[in-house]
Amino acid sequence: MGLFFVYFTQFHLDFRLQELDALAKLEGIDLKYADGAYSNDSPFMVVELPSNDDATKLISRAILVNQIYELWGEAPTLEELNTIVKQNPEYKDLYKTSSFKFIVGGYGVTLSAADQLKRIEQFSYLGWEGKIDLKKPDNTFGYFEDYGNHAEKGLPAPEKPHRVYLGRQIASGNRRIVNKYDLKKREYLGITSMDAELSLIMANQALVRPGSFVLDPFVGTGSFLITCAHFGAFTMGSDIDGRQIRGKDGKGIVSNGIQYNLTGRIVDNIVSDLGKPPYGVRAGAKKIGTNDKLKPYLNTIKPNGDPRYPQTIPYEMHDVLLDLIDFAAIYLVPGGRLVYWFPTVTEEYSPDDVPLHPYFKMIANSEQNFGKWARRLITMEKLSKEELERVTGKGGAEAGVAEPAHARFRSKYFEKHP
Amino acid sequence: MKLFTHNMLQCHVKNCTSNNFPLRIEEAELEAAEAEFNEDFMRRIISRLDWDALRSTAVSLGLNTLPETLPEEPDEEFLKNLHNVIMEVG
Repeated sequence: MGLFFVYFTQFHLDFRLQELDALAKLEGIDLKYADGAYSNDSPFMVVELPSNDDATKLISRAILVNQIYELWGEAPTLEELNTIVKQNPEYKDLYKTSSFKFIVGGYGVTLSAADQLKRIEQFSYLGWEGKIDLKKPDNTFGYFEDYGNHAEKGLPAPEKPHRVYLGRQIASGNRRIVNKYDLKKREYLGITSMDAELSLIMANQALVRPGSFVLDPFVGTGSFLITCAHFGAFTMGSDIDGRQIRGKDGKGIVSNGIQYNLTGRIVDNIVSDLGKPPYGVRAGAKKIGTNDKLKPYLNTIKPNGDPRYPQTIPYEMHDVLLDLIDFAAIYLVPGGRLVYWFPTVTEEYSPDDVPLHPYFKMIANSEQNFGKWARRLITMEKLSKEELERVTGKGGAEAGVAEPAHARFRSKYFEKHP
Repeated sequence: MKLFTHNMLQCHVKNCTSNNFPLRIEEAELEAAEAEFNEDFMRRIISRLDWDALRSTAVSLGLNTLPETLPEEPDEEFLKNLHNVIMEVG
């Protein structure tokens, strides 16, 4: 067991801890931290992990982590930090001759080059004799000062930090991958394309790994298929709007698969409302149906031989969500995850608005705020086979696949708030 | 469309056939595209396939390599062949 500190990025604050928790589960790592160790107001968080290897593994897919450091000390002041560090002679001895690089960083403050150098020099008591190597050092050490989040609140930065950290860098997160899937470089896009960073975070929340099977029933232009396939999943999409899937002029979901060399993992995309249609604010939702109940469905082939796509009707957001969750209750593998976006009006939102289901545990709820409105990334996990047996009273394979009728759980919330 | 996907699709027209499944494939042109073989994935999805529908559809397309019944303990060779039929032919 050892102590470490995670140095998070300053993006998507509300997603950072949730991603770290998801990755610990994905990699099977025993991640421990104290209540209150994490705050959206600080990029630093002290955690306990079984080993350095676990620290490396934990953040190898992390989109919202810069680095993880072996914790040498944290304290309210630099003086107290020095006292802690001096108590451990190992720090002097182990790194006496190795080449090194020293990083100084701050949160809520900008330290000048001269200030940074001063901080580094005051650690000269460590007595290292190895040469400084900024390109390929044997070890990288980091000293960070946390002044708190004052700028955002319109307050001046305090004179001194309230917390300082020193440690040895163990590993870096996976941010470079965001650039690889940057939408600016993607050949085929639509108005609903999800940015690369959030699509990657979603794949982490969903615990996508090699051999996973992912269905995106609102596939749109396939952003989510790309990032899930990147992590080794076999993916499938469906959408009521086939135009988005097919694209045009040879550019579509298929060509994006070719662009990223992921065609072998993007199995198929189908035009269907199986998991129902695109939802959200930009793409008004539709489902298959006719306004005239008496009119029969038209033949699926037009007289000229072209395929006919069924007529669609508008579809209310909350119905879409409940149908989505019902669909997952029936077809998702036990222990599998359902990850979706929940649009909200910021002022009216209450946590009770998020629909629950007896077959699912609520895992995470992270807000991306746009001012008056927001969207929340909801992560739900279907119960394990054993847990489903308890809830449904059924055993064996039956427990995993719920009967549609039984799964049709209507949230009380929506009855109260039509 | 891959046969893996075909195995999940039902006709949405009521009482199209007795159970609206499987969709009949007419005048299809077969294409082969390489897909990565993942044994874990194949082992997991195998229980979700409707074997009779898969086999009869495969035979109707001239793919005669699937056994009549799903073996109780599928070996790697079987899984690789199944992978070829359901994930690489479309």
